[in-house]
Amino acid sequence: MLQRNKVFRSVESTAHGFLSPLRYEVVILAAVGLAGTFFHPLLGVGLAAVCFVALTNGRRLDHGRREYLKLWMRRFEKQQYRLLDEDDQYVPYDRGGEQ
Amino acid sequence: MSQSPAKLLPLWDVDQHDDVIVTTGGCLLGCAELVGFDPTQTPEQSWIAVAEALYAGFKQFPEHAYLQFIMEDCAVSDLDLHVPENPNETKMLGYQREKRREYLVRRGMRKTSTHVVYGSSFGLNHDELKKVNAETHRKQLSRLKEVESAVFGTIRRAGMQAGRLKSAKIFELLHLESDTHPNVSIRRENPSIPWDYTRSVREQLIPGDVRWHSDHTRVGNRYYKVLACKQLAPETHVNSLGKFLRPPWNHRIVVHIKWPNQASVVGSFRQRRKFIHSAQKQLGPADTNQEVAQDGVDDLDYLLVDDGQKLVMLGIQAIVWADDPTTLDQRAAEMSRAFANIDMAVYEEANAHDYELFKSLPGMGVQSFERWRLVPSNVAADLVPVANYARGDSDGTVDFQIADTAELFRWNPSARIRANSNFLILGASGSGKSVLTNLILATSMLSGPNRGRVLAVDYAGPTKSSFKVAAEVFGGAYVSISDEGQKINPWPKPSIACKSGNVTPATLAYLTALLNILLHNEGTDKESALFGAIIQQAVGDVYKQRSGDEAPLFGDLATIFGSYVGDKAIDQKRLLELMGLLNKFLAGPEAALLNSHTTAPTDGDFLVYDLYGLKTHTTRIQSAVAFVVANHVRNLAFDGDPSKKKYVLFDEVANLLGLGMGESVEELYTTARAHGCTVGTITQEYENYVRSGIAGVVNLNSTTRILMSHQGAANAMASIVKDFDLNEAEAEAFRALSCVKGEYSESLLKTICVGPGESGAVPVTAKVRLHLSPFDYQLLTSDAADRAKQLALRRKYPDLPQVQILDYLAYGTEKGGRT
Repeated sequence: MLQRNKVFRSVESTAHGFLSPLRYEVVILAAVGLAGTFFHPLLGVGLAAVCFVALTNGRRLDHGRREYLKLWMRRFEKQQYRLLDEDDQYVPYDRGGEQ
Repeated sequence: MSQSPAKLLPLWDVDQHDDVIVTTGGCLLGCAELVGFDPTQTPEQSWIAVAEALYAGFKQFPEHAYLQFIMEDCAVSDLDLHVPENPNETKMLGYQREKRREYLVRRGMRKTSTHVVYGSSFGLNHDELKKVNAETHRKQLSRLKEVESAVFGTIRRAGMQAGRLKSAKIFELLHLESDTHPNVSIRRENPSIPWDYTRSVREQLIPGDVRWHSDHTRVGNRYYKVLACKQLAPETHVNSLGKFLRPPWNHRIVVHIKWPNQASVVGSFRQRRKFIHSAQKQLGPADTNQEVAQDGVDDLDYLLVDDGQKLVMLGIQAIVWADDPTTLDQRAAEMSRAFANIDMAVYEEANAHDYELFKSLPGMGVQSFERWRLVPSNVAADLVPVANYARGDSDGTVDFQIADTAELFRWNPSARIRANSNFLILGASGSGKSVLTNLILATSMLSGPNRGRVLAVDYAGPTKSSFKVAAEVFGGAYVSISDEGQKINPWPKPSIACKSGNVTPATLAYLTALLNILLHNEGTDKESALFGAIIQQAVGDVYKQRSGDEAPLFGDLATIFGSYVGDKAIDQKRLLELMGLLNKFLAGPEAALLNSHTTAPTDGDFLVYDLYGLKTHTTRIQSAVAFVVANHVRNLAFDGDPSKKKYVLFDEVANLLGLGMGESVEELYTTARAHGCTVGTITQEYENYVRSGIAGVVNLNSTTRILMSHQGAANAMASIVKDFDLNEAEAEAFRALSCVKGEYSESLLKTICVGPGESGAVPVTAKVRLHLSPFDYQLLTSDAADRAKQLALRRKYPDLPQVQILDYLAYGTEKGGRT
C-alpha cells in the first residue's frame, strides 16, 4: 500500500515567513510618514503603520510577488522589450584566468 | 520607457568547462536528464521502494539545495522522424519512408522528456560579485557538488536513471520554443559549434522580441501563458503527478523545490503552533479557525521531530503556448481542469506572464521564484515526476507508439550500444508478426543508413510466406529448398572450412553435429563420443585430401571411411556400423537433397530460402537441412567485412533446429556482432520453439525481445512470462497485448538503449503499438485478399510502376486523383 502524505493547510501558505518591507516600500513608508507628521506626529506614525500592513499583506495575498510596483508601472511603458537589440548590460563571464 | 530584458533572464553564462548554468546572482546549476519508471510496467511493490528511497533522500538534502524538475511534452516533428537516405535503396522504400513520416506526424505523436536542474540557492554576495575569480567559482562549485551528490544518490537509490547534460544540451533546454532565430537554429542543428562569446547569452537564446499583455506574453510569433499552483492536493503519494492527464498539445510542467533554513522555518511553525494551542485554550476549538484547528499541527510536529522530515518549499508552474490568443485561452482552461482532476488549484499569472515564463526556464528561478508552498519533505518527494516512458534509440529506424500514450518509441535493430544486435520476435498467428518483420526489413535492413545484405530462412511455403511477398516487392530472390527445387551442399568449400590446412573448430563442430544427426549418433554417453571421434577424424581427412576449392560431398566421406578399413588405430566394429548407416543414407531419398552440389543462388542483397518443401521428410531430415541452411547463410553473412551490415532472419526455422546443434548455433549468434551481422528469430509456435533445445541459446544471445500478442495460447503466455522473467506489471501488459487488423498491433519490447545524458546503456521495457500508414499497409500486408487486389491491378496496368499501384490502392483518388 502506497504511503499517503498529508499537505498541512496551516503551513502550506506560510512559505514566505515574515515579509520584511522591500527597499522601495521603506521609501513609500517614509514618505507617507513624513507627510502625516506634517499634520501631526502621531498621524504620521499611524499612517506609516497602516501603509506597512497594507503593503505586506497585499504582497502576501499576491503570493509574495516582489515586482508589483514594476508591474503597475508597466501601464506607462511600451508593450515590448527590445530583445533583438544589443544587450548593453552584458558582462562576459570570467573565471579568473582559469580558461 | 522600454526595459531591458536582461533582468528577466538572469543567465550569466553556460559554462562549457564544467557544464553548468551560471546565473547573474552567481549560482551554479547542473542539469540532468531523468528517466523514471513506465507506469504500465511498474508493480506497486516497486513504487513503494521508490517512495522510500525518495523520502529518505529528501530528508538528507542540504539546506541551500534547489531542485527544478522540468517535464516537457511536445508534438513529434518531421525532423524527429528523419532517417538519412541510402543511395542504394530502391525508390519504393524511399517513398514508403516519406509517407510513413508524414503519417506519423499527422497522427499527433508526442515526445516527452524530464530534466532536473539542481544546485545551491546561495549565490555570490555583493563583494564577491564585484570580483569574480577562480576562488569564488570553486566555492560555488563545491556547493553545487554537495547538492549534486545528494541528487544523484537519491535518484539512483530510487532506481531511476539520470545522466548529466553537456553544455550543448543545456543550451537546447534553455531555448524557448518560438519562431526561428538564425543563431538558435544553427546551434540546434550543430550543437558542436562553440558558444559565441562576443554576444550575450540572452541575445543568442531568445529567438525574437518579447511583448507582454495582461493575459499573455508573446515571444516572436508565439503566445505564452504561465499558470502557478495555488493549492496542492490534500494528500499525496509517490508519483502523484503521474495521474496528471497530459493535454495533447505542447506544454511544460515545472516543479521547483527549495530546502530553506530549517531552524528559521521550523521556528516559525512552532510559533504558529503555540498560537493555535493558546487560541484553542482561550476561545475553545469552536472559535478557532476550523481549517487550522483540524489541520493537526501536532501531527506535523511529530513528522518533523520523530520522522525526521524537513519543511521544504515547493512550487509548480505550467507553461502553455499557442499560435493565437484564443487557442491559448482554451489551452489554459484545459490545463486548469487537468490540475483540478488531481485536486490541485492553479491560477493564471495575470500581468506577469513574461516574468514567470522566464523563471520557468532551467535554473532561472533559483533566486527569484516566489510561488512557494510549504510542505513536509515527503510531499515534495511525492511530486517528483518519476513516471515517464522510454523513448528507445535516438537513431531508431522503426517507429512505434507507446501503447498507453501517444509517445514515440524508436528502435534501431543494429544499434551498437547493445552487447549484440540480435532480436527475437514471438507472436501467435495473427499477432502482426509478419507485418512487423516486413516493416523492419523495409525501414531498417533494406533502406536507410543501416542498409545491408538480408538472408532469410523461412518455413512457410510459397502461398503463406511473407518473405516471398517481401522478396517480390523489395526486389529479392525467393529460393525453395526441396527434392525438386534448389539444393545446398552441407559441406562448406575448403576455403571456408579450413584455416592453415586444418578444419576450423567451428566447421568441425557443425559437420560433426550434422553427421551425428544423419547417422543417428545423438547420445551424450561414452559410446556416442567414440563414434563421434571417428566422424571427426574422417571429416578432417576429407578436407585434407581435397585439392582446389570444390566442396566435398557425402560420397567423399564414404571413401574416407572405406580407407579406414583395416586401420588398427580405428575401432573397426564402430567403423563398419557407421559405414552401414552412411550407405543407408546415401541410398535413401534424403541423399537427393543433401548429397548434391549447391544449386541455390548465393548472390543478391535479399535472399529468402524457404524450407517448406521438406514437409514430406522426417523431422530428422528437416532438422538436418535447417541446420545446413543456417550454416550456409552464416557463411554468406560472415564475409570478413564487419563494416558491411548483414542481417540473418529465421522465421519458424529455429523450431527445426534441435539438440546437438546448440554449440554451432550459439557460435552463429555470439560471433554475429563481430561480423557486423544481426540475427533475428521469429516464431509463432513458442512451445515447439522451446522444445527445439536451442531456445535457451537464442534467448540468451538476443538482446532485443519483441513479445507480441499470444491471445488464445494461455500455456505459451505462462511459459513466456516465466522464461523471460517478466515482473507482475510486465506480465499484465503482455497478457493484454492485442492486434486489430488494419489498425495496429501491440508488442512488449525489451531491449537495451542509451540511457539519459551520459549514463550509458540501460535496459528498457516498453509496451508499444505499431501503426501503419495506408501505403505501409499496402506494402507490408500479408493478407491474401489484399495481395490479390494488387496482383489484379498489376495485370491490368502492366506498364505502371508498382509504387504507383500501391499508392493508388493506399490513397485512392481522394489524394491527388491518381488513377
